[in-house]
Amino acid sequence: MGAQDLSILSLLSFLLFLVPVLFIGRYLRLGLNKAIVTGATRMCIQLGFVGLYLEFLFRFNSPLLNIAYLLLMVVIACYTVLRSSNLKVTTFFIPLFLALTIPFTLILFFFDLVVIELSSLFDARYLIPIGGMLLGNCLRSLIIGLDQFYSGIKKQEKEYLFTLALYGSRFEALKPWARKSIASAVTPTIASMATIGLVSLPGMMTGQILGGSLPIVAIKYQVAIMAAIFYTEFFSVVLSLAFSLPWGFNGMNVLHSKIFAGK
Amino acid sequence: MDGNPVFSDFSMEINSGTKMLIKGRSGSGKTSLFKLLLGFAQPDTGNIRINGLALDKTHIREIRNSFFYLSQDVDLPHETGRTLIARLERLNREHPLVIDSLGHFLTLLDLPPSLLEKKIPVLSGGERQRLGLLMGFLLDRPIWLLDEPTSALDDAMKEIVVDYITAMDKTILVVSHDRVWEAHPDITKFNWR
Repeated sequence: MGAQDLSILSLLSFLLFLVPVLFIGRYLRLGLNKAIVTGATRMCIQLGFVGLYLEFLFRFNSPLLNIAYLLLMVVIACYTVLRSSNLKVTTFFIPLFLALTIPFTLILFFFDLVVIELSSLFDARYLIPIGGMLLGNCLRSLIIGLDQFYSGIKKQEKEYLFTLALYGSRFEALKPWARKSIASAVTPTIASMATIGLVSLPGMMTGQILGGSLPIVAIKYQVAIMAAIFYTEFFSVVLSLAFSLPWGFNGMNVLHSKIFAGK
Repeated sequence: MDGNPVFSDFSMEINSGTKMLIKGRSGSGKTSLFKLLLGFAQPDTGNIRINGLALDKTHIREIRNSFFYLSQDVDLPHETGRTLIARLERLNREHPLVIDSLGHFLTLLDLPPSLLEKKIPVLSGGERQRLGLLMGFLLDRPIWLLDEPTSALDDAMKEIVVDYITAMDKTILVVSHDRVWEAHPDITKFNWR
């Protein structure tokens, strides 16, 4: 089983289409040519490296190494989320790390243990790609969630403070912003669950079919992974808001002014 | 507070039941005084006590619950007045709202009951200001901090509101440029710088 291998030469043949793209880009002065070339080059180099260390991880298939690799991915994910949501990495790293690690570990192991019923829980062939898919999707929702929450309160600080004085309860005063940011964070996944199969064939399913799996098996995996992605996103966004509150607000429940990075 | 000092060497004691108009130029830090009292900003040095309680994180909830604060822009949440009242009822079980007098306050403020069914952002400035005051009457908290509470009201309504508020058995601090506050005999004036 497994998809037919591609030769490097046949992969390179795809560059052929880059010629008209670059030509049109130049003719229309899209200003994108440099970005296209850099993007394509980075993709090849980065994925080349991924190929190398995945080979390495799969060959050794050591539980300890696999877990260390997943932890490293979580650390990078947290860093990326905070950088992209314009929040200070040093301030929010710990709460975000916990908010991501707890649901991520729980859902990932549940997926492996209960759903796929793997005999060896730490098998790299399942743990690494599924872990990667969960993290990759959480990245986007955590960025949206944290950014909307903190920048939203910053922008509407007067409304927040007024309702804080009116209600006397931080929890109640924060609700409108928490509601809005959780909804924006998970809506894209809900929308993609609702349209999956109609508009697009998901990547994981396509990959499995190419790899020789029966469509029905690929579909079962796809349903399971979508559910896992949604749960991990949902819980990590909710926890990231809850856990970050003591770092984001002072003892008087007022937003700290120095939590935003840059500017 | 952050940046330039808004005020320094400031000391003031306000007795319970005082009705005080704080006068001063725009931008001279009058609103900052309210922010300090509400714990929205912290003084660099010095301390604030309210009803004998130090204004700190241990007492902040209790202190905030003794204030009714009406901000200049009446930043009420984006929902209907009715929903807001229901929420305030739920959050204030220990000091229940004087909901029995809702009809009385609506008449006093010349607000039709149907206005409570409208989303607050669609209301006019004057309606929002009166709705804000309505929340104050319903909450019935002992200390009122009012930041330009009558700016969007017509003259007749200004008189009604000022007369009613100054007659209440509460501590009232008002920042306002409306003459009607200054002209009222029961109001103490405090010149802010």
